Amino acid sequence: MIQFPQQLHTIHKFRLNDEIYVADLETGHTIPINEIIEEVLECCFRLSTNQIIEELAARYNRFEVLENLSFLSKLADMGLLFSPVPHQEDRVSTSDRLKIFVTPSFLEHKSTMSFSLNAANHRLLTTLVNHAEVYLGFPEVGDNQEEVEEGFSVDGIKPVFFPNRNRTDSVIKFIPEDCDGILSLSPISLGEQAFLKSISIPFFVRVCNETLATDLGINRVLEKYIVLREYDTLVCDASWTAPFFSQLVSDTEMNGFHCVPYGVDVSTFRPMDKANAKRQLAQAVGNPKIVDKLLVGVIPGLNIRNATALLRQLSAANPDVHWLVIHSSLEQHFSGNETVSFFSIRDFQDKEASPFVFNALDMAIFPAVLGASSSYLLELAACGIPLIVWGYNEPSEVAGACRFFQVEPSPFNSLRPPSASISAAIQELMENPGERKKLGMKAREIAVSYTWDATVRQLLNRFSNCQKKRVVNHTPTSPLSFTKHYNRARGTLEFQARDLLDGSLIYEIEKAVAMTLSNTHTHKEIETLLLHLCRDAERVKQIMAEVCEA
Amino acid sequence: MLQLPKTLRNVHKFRHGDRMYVTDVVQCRVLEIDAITWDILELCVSFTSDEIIEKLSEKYSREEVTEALESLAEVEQSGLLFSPLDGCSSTTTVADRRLRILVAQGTPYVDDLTLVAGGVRVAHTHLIKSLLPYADVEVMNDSDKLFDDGVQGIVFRPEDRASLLKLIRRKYDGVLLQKHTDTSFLRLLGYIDAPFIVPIYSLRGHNGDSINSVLRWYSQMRAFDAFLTPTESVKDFYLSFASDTSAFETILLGVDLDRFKPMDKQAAKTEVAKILNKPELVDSPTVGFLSRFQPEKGAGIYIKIAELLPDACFLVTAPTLNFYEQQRFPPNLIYLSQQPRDRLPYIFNAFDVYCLPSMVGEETFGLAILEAMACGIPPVVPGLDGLPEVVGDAGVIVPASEYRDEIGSFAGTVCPMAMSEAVNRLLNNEDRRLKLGEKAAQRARNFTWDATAMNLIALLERLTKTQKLTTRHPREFPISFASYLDESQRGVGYKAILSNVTNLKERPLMFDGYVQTVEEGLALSLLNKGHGAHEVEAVLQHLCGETQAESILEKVLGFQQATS
Repeated sequence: MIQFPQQLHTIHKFRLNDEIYVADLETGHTIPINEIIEEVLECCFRLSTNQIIEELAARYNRFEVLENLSFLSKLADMGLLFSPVPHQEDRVSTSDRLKIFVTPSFLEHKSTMSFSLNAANHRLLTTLVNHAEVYLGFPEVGDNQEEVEEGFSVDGIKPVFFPNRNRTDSVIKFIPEDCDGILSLSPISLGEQAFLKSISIPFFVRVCNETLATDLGINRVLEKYIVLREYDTLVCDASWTAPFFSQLVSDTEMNGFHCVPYGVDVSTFRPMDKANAKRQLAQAVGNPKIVDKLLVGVIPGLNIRNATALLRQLSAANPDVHWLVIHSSLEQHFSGNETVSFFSIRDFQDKEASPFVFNALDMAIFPAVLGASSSYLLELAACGIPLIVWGYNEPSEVAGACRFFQVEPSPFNSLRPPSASISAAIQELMENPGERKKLGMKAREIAVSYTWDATVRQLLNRFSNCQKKRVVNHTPTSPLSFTKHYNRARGTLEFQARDLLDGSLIYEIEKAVAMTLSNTHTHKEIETLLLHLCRDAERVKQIMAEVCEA
Repeated sequence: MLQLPKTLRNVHKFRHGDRMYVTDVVQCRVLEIDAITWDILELCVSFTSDEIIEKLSEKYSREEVTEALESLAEVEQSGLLFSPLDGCSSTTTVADRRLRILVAQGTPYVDDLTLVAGGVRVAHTHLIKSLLPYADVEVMNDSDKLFDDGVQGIVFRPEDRASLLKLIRRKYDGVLLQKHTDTSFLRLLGYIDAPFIVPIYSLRGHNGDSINSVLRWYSQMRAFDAFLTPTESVKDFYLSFASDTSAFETILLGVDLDRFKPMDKQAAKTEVAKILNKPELVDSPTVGFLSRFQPEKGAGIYIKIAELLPDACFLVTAPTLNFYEQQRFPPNLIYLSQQPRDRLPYIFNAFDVYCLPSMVGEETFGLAILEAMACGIPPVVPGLDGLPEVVGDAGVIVPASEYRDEIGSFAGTVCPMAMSEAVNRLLNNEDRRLKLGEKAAQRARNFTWDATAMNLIALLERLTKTQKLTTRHPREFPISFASYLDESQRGVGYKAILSNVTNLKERPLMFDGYVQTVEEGLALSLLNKGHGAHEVEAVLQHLCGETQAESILEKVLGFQQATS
């Protein structure tokens, strides 16, 4: 379908014998038209195709409108009436502040995301409104409207209500056309990749490490990663997310992934009097013995079976410490060990309590693996807690300020936490309070730089960079036809694709498919498709190189 | 000089800025004109050229006006102004008027068949003429001339956008090709929204050009286009390469029964003997051959048959003898050069037996055989391609070996001995020969051009119905491709995701996406891109074989149909 707005040639419209004609004075052709086309020509230089359809469908049969637009497509193909213009490239933003549209998906998924994650997203948005114009789509689904507004009230957000009766309207229709970016805060939402097919605004998907505990989460990220255009980004909240995916995708540069950690409120999460904090915690969990021994915090970040195993190994190897398992569902599966206590953050009060709870810890074990919540890492660091981290790579968030043990990322085998090394590190730090203090101070020092303002600035910088990279592909690829063909030299039937404009240009089917899809599908998508079809990475590489060159 | 006065029904002149223009809306072309021409056009409705020169003499010199009138005459000559074509009102619907059929052909239309040779051109011209009672027929030609038989010529230059526009605006109900090897007309499929009927008059052979042209048309054809196959054998042959049976329709060709009919044999023989100056012909049994005298038409075999039967006279009617000219013919082989078509009935009638030992696999029908049959001449032909379907039991079909897999070259052979025996038996058995001849004439009466035309109109009607049901504005589903962790295979798998959000940006109907196989996703993507079902069929066959291709295509097309 023809893409408007487009610049019109110099035209002259006239009526003769009850028919309407338009003369294209630049090409010297007279074209018979009707009322519908007449109206399209009135507005096609300022409205988009969809807007034109919507406007005319109110007065004419929608089918007829489409028929006439396809007639105009033919004329445009013939070079009549329209000259392609560079898209809204030269559009200047009226305000210096970027306009960011936040999709409503995270509201829909609110109940399935952890309280901490929702709180972090809330904090991100409250900071974002200070630096940008923020629009948030709200589905108008009758009774939940109040709840939506109440549950997510952020001053300064411009709500965009969209009708969602019968679920036929999509928020995509209501995204302001002059937006500089679209931000999706819910990586597990489905269907949003369809946005990428119809809107050329940079699209950022927040990838929250803690939602990647299952295959479902990982696959959703893969689905989104492959359809990303050069000016879209998967914004990870943890520095170790991208390295995991680098073994699943062919792009070793990992350009589509970009890490923007959450911020941490260092005035709330700050070092406090540890003895006091421990006493309060002992009281809260009803275990007075906590004050007697060293207390080690454990962030599990593994499935229940493996997390339970790790906990058993650690508690067996280190009988002299108490353990506080932070936010997990292990509680129901792990009993009969009075050295282990649990603390979960389920609501606002838990969140309020968390700085005090964290301060009761003498050290904490953090898994830099998929599924772990990255905000805990920064919050623990901000509280000056010495950290023992294991995972795919040393997180940049606490680089040089932790004891780190590496494990190989492996998508198909369950992770084996280096429990012996962790135990050894616990022992070492237990015996060395000076080192504990040093490590904690260092972690706090780094955490101080992770402010919410910094998070938002990084995000907006990325948006403006992507805005520059944004290109709208206007050169239509030459039409190819796919056909069987008798090879007279070999005497066999073969398949080939032939250039419709220049019949002498002949391509192999795979390459022709790649060429055909190249202006609607990303290179990564085409590569994925070819990998499936050819099952030969070398050949795919070669085809991709040829297609990109063309 | 320009013939004036003229009515300017389709002419509109206008000013834009300080420039002046004129356009003939039927020809779709805008011309920039000067002030004199503008003034002439003002006056030319009611005055003659001389009167105009007189009237304008105050403003311009006589020479200037004369020059302007001459250049206007040139413009008229080129067909750009004062078009003789009728404009067509876009408001009339198909039901209000006769069918309008465009005939696409690369050479100008010849309305007089007398000098036309070659089965394809004969068939094509007959088909056009027989359509005239049912439809207005416009044939691509070198001028917009109305022919005496009622065919409207229409200029079409492939690279000229105005002539393409002209075709688009004439709103045809159908387009008939002259022959399927005219692949340059493939691009018209993208501009003319009427069913295309593409006749296949050559089957195999031609070094594979024939099949490649069929396959190219097939890949581009829309659901409402079809091939016209003159016999079932052609259809069957191509259905082993293409799976869509509805794209092929067998319509038998016809014969002009007023012209080709049994006559007095002795009189015919005398006539031919006179032309050839061979009086001995009158009394000898005569075998006839009427085709191009080439190896693939069985020329070599025909010579051998003549050698084997020295007592009969073997006539060859062909445009030239080609390289056989250098060869020494048996004395009973007589060459009769190309004859005008109105002589052909005499020539056929002079034959006792018609013999065409063709072996190239390009005899899709055998028009000359039917003409011979109409004259009551029993044919002897090899059992190849479309020949048995035309001859039926009204002739002798000599078993031949056919190479089904051969596409580019000779597709079969027939033994010269067997052919000569069959010919000989007929020559020696007068009773059987006459009975068979009568049967042949009888059978030929079933093949009329009128029936061919009516079948073609019926096909057009079926295709028009199909067109109405065809999804012309399918929903464009955004398809994305993705990899995923396949736990059971412990590896990375690939899938397609159909996000059920249309280009109208509607909310998904049920879920936010359907997961599909990559092949299904690819098929839908290509359909989204405007590639036809047959093209997608080719891609799928290449990627996953015929059986799977068919089931994927069926599924995907069904999905598209259901959601559009």
